[in-house]
Amino acid sequence: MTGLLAVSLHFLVNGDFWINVGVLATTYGIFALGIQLNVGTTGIVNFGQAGFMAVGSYAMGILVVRYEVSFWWAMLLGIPVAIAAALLVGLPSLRLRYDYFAISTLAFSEIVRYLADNWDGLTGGNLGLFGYTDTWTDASARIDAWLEKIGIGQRFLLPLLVVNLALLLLLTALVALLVRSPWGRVLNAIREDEDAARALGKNTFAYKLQSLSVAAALAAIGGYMLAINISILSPQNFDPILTAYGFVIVILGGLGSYLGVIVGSFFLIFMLEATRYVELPLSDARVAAVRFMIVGAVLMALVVFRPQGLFGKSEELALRAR
Amino acid sequence: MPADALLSVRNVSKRFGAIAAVDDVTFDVAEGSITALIGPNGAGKSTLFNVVTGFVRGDRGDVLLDGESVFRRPPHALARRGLVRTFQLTKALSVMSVLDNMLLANPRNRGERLGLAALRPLWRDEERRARVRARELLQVFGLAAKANDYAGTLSGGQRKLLELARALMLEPRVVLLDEPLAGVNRTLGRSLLDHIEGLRAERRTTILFVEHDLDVVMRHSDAIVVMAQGRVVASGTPAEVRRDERVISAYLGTVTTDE
Repeated sequence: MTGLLAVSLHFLVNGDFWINVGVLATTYGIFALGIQLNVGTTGIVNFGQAGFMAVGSYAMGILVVRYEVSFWWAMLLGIPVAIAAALLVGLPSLRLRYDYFAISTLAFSEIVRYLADNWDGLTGGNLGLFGYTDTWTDASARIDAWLEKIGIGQRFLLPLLVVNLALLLLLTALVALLVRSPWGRVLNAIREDEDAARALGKNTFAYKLQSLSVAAALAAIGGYMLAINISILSPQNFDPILTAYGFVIVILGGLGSYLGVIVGSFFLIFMLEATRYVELPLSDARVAAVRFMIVGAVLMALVVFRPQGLFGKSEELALRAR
Repeated sequence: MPADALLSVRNVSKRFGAIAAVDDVTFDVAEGSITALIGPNGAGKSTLFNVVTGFVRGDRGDVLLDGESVFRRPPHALARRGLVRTFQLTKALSVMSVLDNMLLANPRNRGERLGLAALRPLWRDEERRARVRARELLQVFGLAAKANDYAGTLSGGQRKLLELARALMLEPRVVLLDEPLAGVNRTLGRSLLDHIEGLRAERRTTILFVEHDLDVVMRHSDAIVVMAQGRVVASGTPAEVRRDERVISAYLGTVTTDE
């Protein structure tokens, strides 16, 4: 049996493997932070996070490539564009029941992807949009020099990892701070019972819009990380499966837990990347499929044996089940 | 509208398809009074509550709070103007602590604004004041020991108490209670009624409540409004209503309207 499913563990001592896991996990982590705020804290089911990510990153890329806006300004401007998209989706659909809202966000996400695929003149269509990374390349070289100075040395993507990690920790702390504030208490109340919150004088519609807007802003920031990492934006990078990964992270980490988002994203990306090294006497296409079966089995086991997630509270789960 | 009416319902109607759930209902709730709204199942009491509190959009009519129209205003705006309700099925926010349930209802916390939420020094003092107020109320309602427990762990009766205490955090002028005694045991029920009477005595809070227990209604209310099939069939003091033929027939199920 051991010969049939062999895993070479050499990748675990390979620095590049871990840097790659780190860059992806931090990107997904910031992306999933927004899903946690919406789903875990506010109780609104946002299936369109990949769409907000696309809007933010394409806005940045288009501003740089087509309008020659500076990279930093473009990143700053991409956030309000993503928030505008959140308002566009949220204003008509956040008054609907939660399941209709969920479908609306998914539809929005797909509309954005098809637009990106077909509006060639603006987005580059399926050939992709590129040429926005020059400023980053310079910045990256400076971070490299600094890393060299403090004795860490140069490695591909290490500067991006450093920036991503700092941003993930900073933004997670910020969102956790917001969630623990009176503002976050209103969001929690909306999740528990929106009518009760309204009866206590809270304009729940406005709060849901704010929650969605913050999520969209986080998606945009995650989108910049993705855009820098892959250096070419194509519509297929924003497939709805991305949002599904975000949900997996949130459920893995525990609904409502922000530490869980960080741990969950590293856990999921590690699983997805590590299973690439599974060696089987099968064709490559079949190995690729088996990989996802392994990941799926591990996730199922986790949900069965720890339904509240890694950092969720079991007593909260029990109260919800009542 | 009589001079002492704090809440005035004027010709309010609400249809759901072919059904006139509330049909041209008019009555006043005097300031500082405990007014009961009674009637058989399906009389339209809950729909009327929902229209008055903004949860359901009324078709016609008007609702006046202290002389000002609040008809079709959203629920949160009404709550902020001092018209606060509870629900027939209690809405304790289960996965929040009892104390957080109370603090949520504080109407003037700047920390509830997204732009200020991260700046704790700006709202810390108000939060502290609210916490003192919340603990006092929990003390009065016998829930102080439960302050840090999840509200979902409270018994049904305790949740009713919490809902009333929470409503008081808003310092309401009128409290609308939808079947406050439903599913509450006798002892807790009596304590709830004491609280309601105490409220009126100490704060001059006006109370409008829906209740099925006629014994309680007769004993604890100053005025009674009787509804049947969406309409007001009688109103007056308990003594007047008790003698009213239309009330008796409404409860026996053979409604005789004037037309």
